[in-house]
Amino acid sequence: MQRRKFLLLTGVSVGMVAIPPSLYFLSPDIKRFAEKLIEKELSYLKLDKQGVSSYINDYFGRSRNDVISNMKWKLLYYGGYNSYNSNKINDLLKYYLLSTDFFLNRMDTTKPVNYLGMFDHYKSAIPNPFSYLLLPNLKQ
Amino acid sequence: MKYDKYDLIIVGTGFASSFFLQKYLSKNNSSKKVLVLERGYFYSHEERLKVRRGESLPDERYEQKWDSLVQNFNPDKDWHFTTGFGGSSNCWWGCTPRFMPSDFKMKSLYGVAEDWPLSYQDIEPYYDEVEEIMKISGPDATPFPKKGKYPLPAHRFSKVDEILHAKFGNQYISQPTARASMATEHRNACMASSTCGTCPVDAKFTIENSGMTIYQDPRVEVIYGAEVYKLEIVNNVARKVCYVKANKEYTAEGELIALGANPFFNSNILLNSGDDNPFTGKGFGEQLGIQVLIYLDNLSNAGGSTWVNANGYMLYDGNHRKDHAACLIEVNNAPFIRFEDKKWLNIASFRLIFEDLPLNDNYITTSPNKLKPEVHFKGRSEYVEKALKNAKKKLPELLSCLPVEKLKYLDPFPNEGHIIGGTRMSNNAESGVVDKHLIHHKFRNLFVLGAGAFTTYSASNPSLTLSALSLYAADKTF
Repeated sequence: MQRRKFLLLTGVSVGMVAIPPSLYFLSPDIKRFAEKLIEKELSYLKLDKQGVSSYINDYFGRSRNDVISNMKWKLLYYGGYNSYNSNKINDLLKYYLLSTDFFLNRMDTTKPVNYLGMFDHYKSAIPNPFSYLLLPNLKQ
Repeated sequence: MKYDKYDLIIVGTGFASSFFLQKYLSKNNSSKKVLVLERGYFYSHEERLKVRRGESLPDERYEQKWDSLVQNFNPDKDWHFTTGFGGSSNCWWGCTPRFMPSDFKMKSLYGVAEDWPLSYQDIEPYYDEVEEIMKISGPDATPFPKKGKYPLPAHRFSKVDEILHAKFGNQYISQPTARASMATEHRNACMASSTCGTCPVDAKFTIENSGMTIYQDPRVEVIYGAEVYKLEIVNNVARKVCYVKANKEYTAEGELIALGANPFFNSNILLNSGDDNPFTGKGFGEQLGIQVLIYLDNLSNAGGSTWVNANGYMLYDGNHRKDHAACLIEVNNAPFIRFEDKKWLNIASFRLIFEDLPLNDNYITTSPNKLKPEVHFKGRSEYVEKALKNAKKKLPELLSCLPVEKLKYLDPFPNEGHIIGGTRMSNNAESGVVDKHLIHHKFRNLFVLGAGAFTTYSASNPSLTLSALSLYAADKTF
């Protein structure tokens, strides 16, 4: 691990010890850092902020919202992780884009990206953006 | 039960049992009495789909988790399977490449493991028959011998596929698949949903949507919830099948018996019955699968029409199999997405699937619970580990026709969804459990069907071949 990343991680961890765990149950940390991670990597898109927020609520609605989970997302953000080196971030971004009209709009970056509802293989209009039903196999 | 004695008792309703029964009924007269014992229940695709879409239904109780049905001693290794009517046809993903002719001759060609007691040529006509029943979609040219066309046209290539096909010809083909490329009488066309376990549009072949009428045949009686655990054997003849249904013990008497459960349960039944063949339960396993993501510069991988668009055979056959395993490449488009501007779909995904060898340290045995086999998987052979190293070395050259930015290997999958071996096929009882007609070497009125009978594993998906073997066994016997 790079020294800088190590220091960042340990710094965050040490900081967390000093804060009473109960505060983390009340803290919106997960939401904040997950939103930041999406905004950071997709900064070139016209993201609908309210939609991102709704997505985050839905995405984490079924998962744990506890000290450990909060810490993990904070570590990912401050540790400089991204969709390439973190499966958690990759999933977060992937399901975000799949849950929006981004692929329905054929990846037109001039259009705002609107959240349509949590992606579901069995319910979503575009279950797989690679399908010929959405895009022919044209070279970009 | 309607009768005291049956001409044939079949255990299970999955691929192996259903194709065996199909051929048996077609070759026997209308007076035959057949009993089918299925440990699960009929749980329709329609109901499964409702549950996947969020409904809560009573039939959900039929979805038993695999690890509640066997005792698995290796927490790092999963063995997924489905019980109930149709067996694993309900959870398979519909990949149906044939085995290569060399897969049947590992010993004579490469000095590895054992040859099968039958050849590719022996079962070739039965491949044709299964492909017709399953309405397989596939290309005109294949790396394995094939007379005639597939029943349905091949799926569409992506641009990446087109480039690789142009370079490698019939070593890189549209995958032969039971995911229909166009609507059929009983199925819809695949929408590339990339989730096939319960197909959202009912495009993949299952026993339920097969159009096979074997379970409606008046000669056939089906009992659900019948958990078979033992055969009563007298003078080396299997006389009765013992099963539990709703906590009550039953026996059924049959002239012929065919075990078509998965290799865990087939082995468990044989061992509980006193089978002393040294290979029973031994050498089970499956292929190793590893995903590699191929990041592409200025080339979209969109445009395919199914989940696995193509199969690559560039690392499959050859003298390297004297030293390391064959590798079948599955090229899939499950949505691995990139997040850099304009590169969202500039990514391809290869699943490298390596054959493994049957090792006696990997075995199935009985447990104090007669219904629940123990599964002991100690590990893989060096043969597959060497092949993985070789693939990593060779892949950059194979992909040199593509604008590759980088490759990213993911962790190996904990399972490939295939359970192979445990009742291997051989010429004699000194080297295996069943003969080339899937008849037990010692109990000559007992068939042991399915992938458990494979002598070696192959790198190819097993369902098509085990179905063809069932047709072959029944056709040659009756």
